[in-house]
Amino acid sequence: MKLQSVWRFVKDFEGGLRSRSTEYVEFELREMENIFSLLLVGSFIGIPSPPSNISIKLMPYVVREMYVMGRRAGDMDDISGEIFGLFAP
Amino acid sequence: MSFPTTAVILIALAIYACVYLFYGRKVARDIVKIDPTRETPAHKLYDGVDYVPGRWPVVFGHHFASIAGAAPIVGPIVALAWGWLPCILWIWFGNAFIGAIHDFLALTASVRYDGKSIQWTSGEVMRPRVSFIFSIFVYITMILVVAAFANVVIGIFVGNGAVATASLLFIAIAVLIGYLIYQKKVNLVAMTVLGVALLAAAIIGSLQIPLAISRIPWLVILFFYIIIAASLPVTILLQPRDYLNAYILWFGLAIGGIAFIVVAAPMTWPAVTSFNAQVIGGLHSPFWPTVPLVIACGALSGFHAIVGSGTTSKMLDTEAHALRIGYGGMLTEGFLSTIVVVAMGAFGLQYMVSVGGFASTGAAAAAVSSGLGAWNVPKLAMFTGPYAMGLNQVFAIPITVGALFASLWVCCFALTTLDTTNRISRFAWVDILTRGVRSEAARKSSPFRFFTYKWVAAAIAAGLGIWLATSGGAFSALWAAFGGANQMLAALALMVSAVWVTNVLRAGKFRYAALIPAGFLWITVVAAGIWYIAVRAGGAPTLVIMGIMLALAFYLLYEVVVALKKGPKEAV
Amino acid sequence: MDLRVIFVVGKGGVGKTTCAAAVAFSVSKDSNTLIVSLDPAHNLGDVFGTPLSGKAREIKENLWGLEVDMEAAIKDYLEKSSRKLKDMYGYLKAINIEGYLDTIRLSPGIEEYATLEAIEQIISEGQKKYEVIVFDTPPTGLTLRVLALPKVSLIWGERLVRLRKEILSKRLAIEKIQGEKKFVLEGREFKLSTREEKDEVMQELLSYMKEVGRVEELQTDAKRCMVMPVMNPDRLSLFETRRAFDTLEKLAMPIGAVVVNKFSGKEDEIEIITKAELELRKPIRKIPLLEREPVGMNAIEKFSSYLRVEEWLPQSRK
Repeated sequence: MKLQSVWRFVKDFEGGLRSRSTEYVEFELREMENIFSLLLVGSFIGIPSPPSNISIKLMPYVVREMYVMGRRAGDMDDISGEIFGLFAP
Repeated sequence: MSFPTTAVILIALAIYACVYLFYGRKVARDIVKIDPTRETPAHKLYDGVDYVPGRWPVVFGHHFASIAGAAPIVGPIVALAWGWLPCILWIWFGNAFIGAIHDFLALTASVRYDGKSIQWTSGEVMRPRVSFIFSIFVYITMILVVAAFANVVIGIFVGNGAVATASLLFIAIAVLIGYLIYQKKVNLVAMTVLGVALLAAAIIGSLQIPLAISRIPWLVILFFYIIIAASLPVTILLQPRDYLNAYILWFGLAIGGIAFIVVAAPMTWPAVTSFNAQVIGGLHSPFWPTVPLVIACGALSGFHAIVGSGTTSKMLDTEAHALRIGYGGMLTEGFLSTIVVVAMGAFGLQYMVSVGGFASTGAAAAAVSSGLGAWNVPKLAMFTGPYAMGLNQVFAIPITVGALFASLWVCCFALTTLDTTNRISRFAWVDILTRGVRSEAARKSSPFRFFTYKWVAAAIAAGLGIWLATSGGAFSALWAAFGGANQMLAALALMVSAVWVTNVLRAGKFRYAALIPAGFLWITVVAAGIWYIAVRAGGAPTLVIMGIMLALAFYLLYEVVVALKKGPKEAV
Repeated sequence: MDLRVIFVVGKGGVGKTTCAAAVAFSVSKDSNTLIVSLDPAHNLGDVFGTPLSGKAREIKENLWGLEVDMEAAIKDYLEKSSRKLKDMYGYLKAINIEGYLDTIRLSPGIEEYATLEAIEQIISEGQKKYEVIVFDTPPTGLTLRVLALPKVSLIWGERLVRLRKEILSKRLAIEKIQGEKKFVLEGREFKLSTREEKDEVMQELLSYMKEVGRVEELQTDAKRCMVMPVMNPDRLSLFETRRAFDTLEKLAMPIGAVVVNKFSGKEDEIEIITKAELELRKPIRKIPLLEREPVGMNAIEKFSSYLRVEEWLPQSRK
C-alpha cells in the first residue's frame, strides 16, 4: 500500500517534469490553431484570407481550431498576463 | 557559535513545517476561505490545453520548476556579507510571513477570477490604470534582470572558462535533443537519458577545454545571443533547454540537500558581521531595509505571482491544493536558499583560504567582516566552491567537477532567463506603446510602426540590458537594483492581493495578515530605494531607473488607498 | 489527355455567344466538340435554333451543346455546404453556426466558385467523350475572376498546407510525450489528428489542390487551351479588352486570336483595329456587321468562315 503511493508520487513527479517538456510547444500549437481558424473565417471578418470556398470546404473538419479561436478571443483581455506567466524568469 | 549544517537544515525544515501547518492553514481557512468543493477554473473552463486539472504533485513540480531559478542562489551569496544568521532569519521568516503569503494569495486570487493573471486582477480590484502600470514595472524589471544576469553569466565565464564551454555545449545538446524530440518524435524518456548523459560528458569534457574570452567580447556575444534565442521558435532551443534545466535543478537540490545534512560540518562563517556591512556597491548597507533587495527571490519574488496567476492557477484541481503548491512551493524555494547559506556557511571560509590567498580561516573571517569587497574571490564562486567542497566530502566528487556543475546550474538558468525575459520585454514594450498611444493616426505613423517592430523591440530591450550591465554600476549594485524591482513587483502583487482580501473577500479582522506584510514590504522597498539613490549605490542610469520605480511605487500607494477607501464590494 | 479547351470571353453584347458558336462549328468539322454556356443570360440555344438544357444535347454531327443552370448550381453548392456544417457544428452552442451560414450565402465569390466547380466538372467528365470543349463565358469581370481562381487557390492552398503540417507535427510531438488526447466539447468527442493521412483537413486541401492544379495546368498549356476575346470596334471595347489581356497574361493563359465583331468599315473603326493589332499583338479576325442577327446553322457556318481557326487554334493530334 505504502509502496503504491510512493510509486504514484514518483509517476506524478515524472508527469510534472514531462509537462514541462511540452509547455511552450502547447502554447505555440494553440496559437497556430488559432491562426488557422482566423485564416479560414477571415473572408467573413475582413482580413486577407483564402477564397471562401476553401474555407467552406474545411470548416466541417476544424471544430477544434474554431473552438480554440473562440477561447482565445475571450482570453485576449489578459494576454500580457498569460505571456508574462508563461515566460516568467 | 558553531552550528552544524545538519542542525540548520533540520531547523529550517521544522520552521517551515510549523509555519505551513499553523499559519498557512489558518490563512487558507480564515482569510481565503478555501473551499475544496468549489469548481476551479481548470474544471469550469476546461479546454484541454491551458485549463487542465492536474494531480497536485504534477502541478507542484511544474510550479516549483517555474519559480526556481538562479536568483535564489545568487542572492544569498551576496547577502552573507551580513553574516549567515540574519540572512537565514530573513530567508525563514521573511519567506514564511511575506514571500509565501504573497505567492499563495496571488494564486488563490487568480483561481477565484477564472485563472486571470495578477495584472488583470489589479485592474479589476483597483483602477484599470494599475494594470497598465504593471506592464511598465514588468518591462523595467526585465531590463534589470538582463543587466544583473548578464553580469552573473559573464562573471562566471570569465572566472572559469570551462563553464563557458559547458554552457555552449549545453546549448548544442539542447538543440540536438530538441530536434530529436520535437521534429523526429523520438521517445522522451530515451532522449532525456541521452540528454543527461551528454550533459554529464560535457561537464567532464569542458574541464579540458576552457574558453578564454574576456568581458567585453562576452557582452557582445550575449547581446546577440539574447536577440537570436528569443526569436527562435520555442522547440528549437527554449523548450528543450527549459526541460533539461529541471533535471539539473532537482539533481543539484537533492545531492546538495543530502550532502549538507550528512556532512554536519560546523558553520564557520561569521554569524553576524555588522548591521551596516559593506554589501551593495561596496557601501555600508543597512540590513534593514536593503536585505530584501539582495536576497530577493530567496525569500520573496514578484515573478512568482506572475507565474502562479499566469499558469499554475489554471491547473489546480481543487482549491485545497492551493496551499501546498502556492505556499508550500515558496517554502521549498526557501529551502533551496537555506542550502546555499549552509554551503557557504560551512565551507566558505575554507574556500577563501584555498582560493583567495588568506592565511587562515580567521583571516578570512576578518575579511568577511570588513565587507564584500575584501573577499578576494569571485562572488559566485562563493557558492560553487563551497557547494563542491560539500559534495566532495560526502560523495567524493572531485571539487573541479562539483564546482563546474554548480556554476553550470546557475548559468543554465541564467541563460534561459535571458532568453525568456527578452520575449517578455518585446511583448511588454509593444503592450505599453499600444496602451499608451491611443489615436488611430498615431498608431499608423512610421515611428510607431518602427518601435513596435519585433526586431526593434528585441534589440532595444537587449541593448538597454547589456548597456546597463556595463555602465549600471558594480555587480552587487546592479543585483540590488534588480532585487529592488523584483521586490517592488512583489509589493505591487501583495498590495493587490491585500485589496482583494479586504474589499472582495471581506476578511474583516483577518485582512491584516495581508495588509501588514503588504505595508511592511512597501515601506521596506521604498526605504531601500531611497537609500539606494541617496548613497548613489549604482551608476547614473540605474539611479534613474530606481527613481522611476519609486515614483510609480508612490503612485501605487495612492491607488491602494483609493481602493481601500472605497471599501468592500460584492464578494466574488 | 487530348482535350482542347477554348474560352470565349468578352463584355455583354459584343456577340460572344455567336462567336463561340462559330468556333464550335469550325472545330466540330473534324473533332467531337461540346459547347457550354456559362453565361447566366443563356443565348446559345437561340443562336443554334436548338433548345438546350443542363444535359448535353446533340446539335449536329460532332457538335453537342449544354447550358449550365448556374442558379441551381449555386443553390446546390450552398445546400451541400450548409448541410455539412450543420452536421458538425449544429448542436454545439459554443460555436454559433447560424451566423456563418448566413454570411456564406451573401459572401462575395459564390458565383465564381460555383462557376469554377462547373468548369472542373465539365472538363473532367467531358474529356472522356469530347476532343474540344468551347466555353461561352459570363461577362468579362466574372470570367477573369473565375480564371484567376485556380492560381489564387493554389497559393493559399500551399500556405494552408504548410501551416497544417506544422500543426500536425506539433500535435504529434505532444502526443508522443503526453499520450493521445481527445478533445471533448459538450459531450461530443473529436479526435485530434496528428498524421497527414488521417487528417481530413489535409486530405481535403490536397485533393482540392490536385483538382484545381489540373485546371491550372490545362489553362496555361498553349497546346491544349486558348482564349478567344471578342470585342467590338470601339474605344471602350478595346480598352476593356486590353485590361483583360493584362490579367490573362499574368495568369499565363494563351490567347489565340481576337475577334472584332460588328465591323462596319467606318474610318474610326479601322483606326481602332489598327491600334488593336499594335497593342494586342495577336491575330485579328474581323467579322462584318450583319443586317440581321445570325441565327441558325447556315448563318453560323457563314460566320465561322471569318474566323479561320485553322490558322491560330492548336491542332488536334490527328
